[in-house]
Amino acid sequence: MAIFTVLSPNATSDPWPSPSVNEPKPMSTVYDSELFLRKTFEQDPRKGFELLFRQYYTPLCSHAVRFVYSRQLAEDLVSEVFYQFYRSEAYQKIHSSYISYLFTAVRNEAYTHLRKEFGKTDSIESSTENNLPGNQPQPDAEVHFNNLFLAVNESISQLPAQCRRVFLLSRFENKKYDEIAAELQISPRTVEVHISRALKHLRQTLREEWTLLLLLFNLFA
Amino acid sequence: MTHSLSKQNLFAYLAGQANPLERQIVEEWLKNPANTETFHAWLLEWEMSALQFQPDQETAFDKLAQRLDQTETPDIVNEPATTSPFRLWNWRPYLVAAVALLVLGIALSPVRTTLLYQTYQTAVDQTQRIQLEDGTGVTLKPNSSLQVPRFGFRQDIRQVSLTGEARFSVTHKLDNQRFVVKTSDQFQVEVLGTEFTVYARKQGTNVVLDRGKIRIDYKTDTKKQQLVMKPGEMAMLTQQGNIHLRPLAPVKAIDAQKGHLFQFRDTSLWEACYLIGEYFGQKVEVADDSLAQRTISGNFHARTANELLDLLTATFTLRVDSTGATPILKDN
Repeated sequence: MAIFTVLSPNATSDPWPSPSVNEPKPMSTVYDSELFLRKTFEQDPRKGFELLFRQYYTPLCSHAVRFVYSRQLAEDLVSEVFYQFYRSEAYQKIHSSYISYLFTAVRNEAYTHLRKEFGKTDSIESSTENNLPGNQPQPDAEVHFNNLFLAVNESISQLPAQCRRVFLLSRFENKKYDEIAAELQISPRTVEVHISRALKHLRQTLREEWTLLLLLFNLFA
Repeated sequence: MTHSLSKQNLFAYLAGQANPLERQIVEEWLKNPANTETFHAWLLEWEMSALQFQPDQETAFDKLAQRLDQTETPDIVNEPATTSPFRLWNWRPYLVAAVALLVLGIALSPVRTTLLYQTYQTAVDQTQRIQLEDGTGVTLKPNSSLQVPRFGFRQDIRQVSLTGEARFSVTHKLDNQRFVVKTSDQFQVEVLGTEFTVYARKQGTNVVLDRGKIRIDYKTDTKKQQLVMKPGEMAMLTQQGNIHLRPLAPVKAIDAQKGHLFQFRDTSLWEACYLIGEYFGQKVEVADDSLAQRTISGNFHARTANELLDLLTATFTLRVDSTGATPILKDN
């Protein structure tokens, strides 16, 4: 039995032909570049997993850190996604490319983390936690995830210089309060004030995003 | 419908540099699920072009590998409910058990090799041309055997096992798939693209490279070693496990009168026969292994294969058995 689809060029009529520049579709190239990974997964999942990790761990961490603003957290989060990916044998089931699956998972996890840290605590929708992709993604999800990390970024760039420096040292570099105090020659108390101010600011600017995001996720949960 | 979008537009948007109009175009584009794959591919490219930081990937992987080793069996119970509509865990243990039994059965049974490998075997007076699945040509010399895996030859490393002697002309694959000839647990030749001859018998192992580049991996009692060979070189592994790499005995074309000058210095009979094949196109075999390893020194002029064979037989006190298609050198 053969199952195949024939796609004739005229079959999909585009009612709104877009005049913008046509980039070559990268989809096939993603599949091509992952072909080797796929073959390896078929032969030896553990080996395939190792290759997958080495190929994507670094860029995924780089992406996750835009949300969580902590190297350690970003690394832990991405490692966890890889762990679940292997343990749940997701590699046998996915229909997308590996990188697409991993990005979706990382962005979901980053969102979950931010919500826990900055979101409302009366989360009725806690059942949506740890929702690795597998659910049909909402059409707006990618946009909102983007808005989220852009908002985080903007919020941090709006902080007063010293406050931002303290926040980044604490969050991004994972330094302790007294270490930061020593480094910047300020009192530990001032460090605390800066941090709480930064967090408050972050919470405020993110509020708008949250309202949208929570609404979205409640609708589809 | 698929809106097209340029990568530059997306990158500007991701960097927070898009104006409201551009931003709206990107958002519309993102809302189409058909674009998700493209988006993620470009997102990857964007991240790669400006990494936020360089995580310690190796440490992270080691940690993760440790964690996985502690829980090697896949965790089925905690699987997200959305992923298994067919309740895989009901039949999976039985399937796993059945497969395990089958694998164990095959592993223990004597048919294992037959099942897993296609074996080519030549008789004493027979030479066989074999074309492998991947296009690699093998000339299997007399009294030799070659094992080629039936499964996975194309996907993984292309690995064959050889006892005896064979000449390989390896097809290079676009994905740089490796081709390995194993002659024992201690010795293998890895092809970096090319033509070469491997001679692997009890008395010793010789490898001669004609074209391209190969690497030899071998193990001594204490360590693993590697050796990269260049064309015209010969590597010899002695019974004691020592390896020698040296150029093939030099052969000079003098003129039509005098023919070729073969300069043998402790050159084995096997190597001499190999050179006859190279320079005169005449195949010659050596009857047994210990004979093949006997060496000869001296300068020999020869215009034809037979002239050199006469010199060799006289020096070694041998005779040529010409009953078959290929002359065979035998002890007198």
